Amino acid sequence: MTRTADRLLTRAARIRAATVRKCEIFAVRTTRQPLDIGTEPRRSRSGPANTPHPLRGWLRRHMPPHLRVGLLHAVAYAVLALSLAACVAPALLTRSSYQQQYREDVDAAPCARFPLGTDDLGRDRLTRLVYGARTSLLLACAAALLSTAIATLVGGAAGWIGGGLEKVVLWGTDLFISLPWLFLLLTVRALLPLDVSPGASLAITFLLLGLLGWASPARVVRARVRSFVASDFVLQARACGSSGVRLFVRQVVPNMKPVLLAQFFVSLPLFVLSEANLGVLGLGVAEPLPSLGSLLRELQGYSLLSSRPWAILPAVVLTCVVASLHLAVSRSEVQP
Amino acid sequence: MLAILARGVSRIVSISLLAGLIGATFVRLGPGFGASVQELDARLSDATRAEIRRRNGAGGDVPRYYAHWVAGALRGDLGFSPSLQRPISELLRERAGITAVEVAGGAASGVAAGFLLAVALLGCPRPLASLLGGLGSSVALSVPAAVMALVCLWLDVNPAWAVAAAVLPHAFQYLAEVLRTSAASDHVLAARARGVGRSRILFLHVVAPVLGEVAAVSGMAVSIAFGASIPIEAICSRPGLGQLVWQAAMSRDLPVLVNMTVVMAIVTIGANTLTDVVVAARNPARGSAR
Repeated sequence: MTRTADRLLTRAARIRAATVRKCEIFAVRTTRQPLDIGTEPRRSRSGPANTPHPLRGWLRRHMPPHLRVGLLHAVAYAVLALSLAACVAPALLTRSSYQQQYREDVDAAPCARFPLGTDDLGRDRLTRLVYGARTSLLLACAAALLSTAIATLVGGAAGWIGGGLEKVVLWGTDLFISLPWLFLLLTVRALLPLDVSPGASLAITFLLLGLLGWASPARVVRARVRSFVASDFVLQARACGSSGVRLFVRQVVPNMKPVLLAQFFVSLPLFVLSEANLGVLGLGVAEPLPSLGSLLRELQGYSLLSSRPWAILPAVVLTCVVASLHLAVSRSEVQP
Repeated sequence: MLAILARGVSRIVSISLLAGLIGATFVRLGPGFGASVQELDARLSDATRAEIRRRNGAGGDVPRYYAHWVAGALRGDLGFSPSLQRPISELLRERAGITAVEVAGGAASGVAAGFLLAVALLGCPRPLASLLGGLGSSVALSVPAAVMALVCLWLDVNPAWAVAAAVLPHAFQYLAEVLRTSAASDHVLAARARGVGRSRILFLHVVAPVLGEVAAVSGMAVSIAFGASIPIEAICSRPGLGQLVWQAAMSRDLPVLVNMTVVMAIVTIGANTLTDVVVAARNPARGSAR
């Protein structure tokens, strides 16, 4: 599996490089040869058909290039900003605690007091959604940080030292990648004690995500470190007398920053989704602590959804947040 | 090609055995090993709880258990499931067919749909294609497999569609990029310059050269489909291997978990080895280079 995954990754990188090269070649050709071989007629850029909208023109003039985004990405960033607000200051968006019960308003429909209604224990759905998003996002960040740190240690050591250690690490990553991710999570999570407190279940869930998610990033880190081993700046540093751990920490690790950041951001949506899958199966964060995954458990009473369609909102929020993360990551890959 | 096959078989055997050993070790070292739901019954005395724990903890000596399991597996005996009270080989035989149909059908449908969608978007104007492709695949990637299973339950359709929906965005993203690159290659430009028809260019010069990549994606799709089948079967109550994993995990059934770890490793590495062989058969130079 790893071989195919490696091949696909290498192929994708080659394709990206080739696409850029072809675009450049095509651009050169089209400027040198005015012959139009495309099927669509080319319009003059200075013609009236391409006159920018006044607002767009103003934005082009006044906005820094790295902040110019399309509508889709603008929406994605807005969703992420809202999620960040939920993480940082949930109290601003809600009026009560996530476990406060309104026994006189059990299973209430949306109203002015409870914009998303209440659940079957009388808890405000909006409050639980906001706190659930906070739990999932903050701890996905923590898990991504942990897995990236482990990948840096393991992949970095394998790439830097090479030899037998590299082979062992590659074998280990082969093993981890060959087993479906959810299967690993499910097996290891189910082996932990049943009667743990909500806080402990939360810590366990995201420690598991962090500890089991190192394999793919470690392969990327190893490959990057291998490319640095033979690079000019490392050679120069060696010539200046730097060696061993000092050389690795002072010269290689700072140059790994873009790769590590990319691995961190790529892991985020994966971890949020994994937590959601575990939550639906009852192995995620324990009640009464909410998370996006545990809120989805309510959807299993799907026969009641026709009478309470607003209960589907956690799934919609989860999809929007993860899709926004995907879009933001894909944009940062295109425009680093 | 034979060399690739031999390497693949040796990888399957070595990684599967190691996966089984690590699976058994994880299970044994887990702090919840030997615990069961029965212990939560408040009516039980401490002595009864201790007895339950002792009984569930029997067989916890990992090396001995694993050596015994390997010897049994070589004779065709995969052990006995304490939670389901049945021989594991029987359980696997009963359930493998259901999961195989679901995973194979879901993976094939997902890859086919992803490929067709990528081909269809190739003909669309670039902004529309990137909007539909980018937004569509991002949203599809963002729905957990468990939610897809719930949607299948609401709509009362076969859960294989949920597996296909889990595979589709991955296949689409990769194949769309491959097709875009193929469409931008020099020979396509030359064909357009010579006035070759659009459909001929599309099928002969853009789509045909990337068919090998579709085979490569299929190997990856099997792994994704297998992973997605666990929550889907658990939620849709399908008596397949995914549900067996779920039940074994919940009841801490060490023998079933070890067997399932090996089965998962064999299926995913086997699918990828098969893919490698197919790709090598289509393009021997590339296969030998790898």
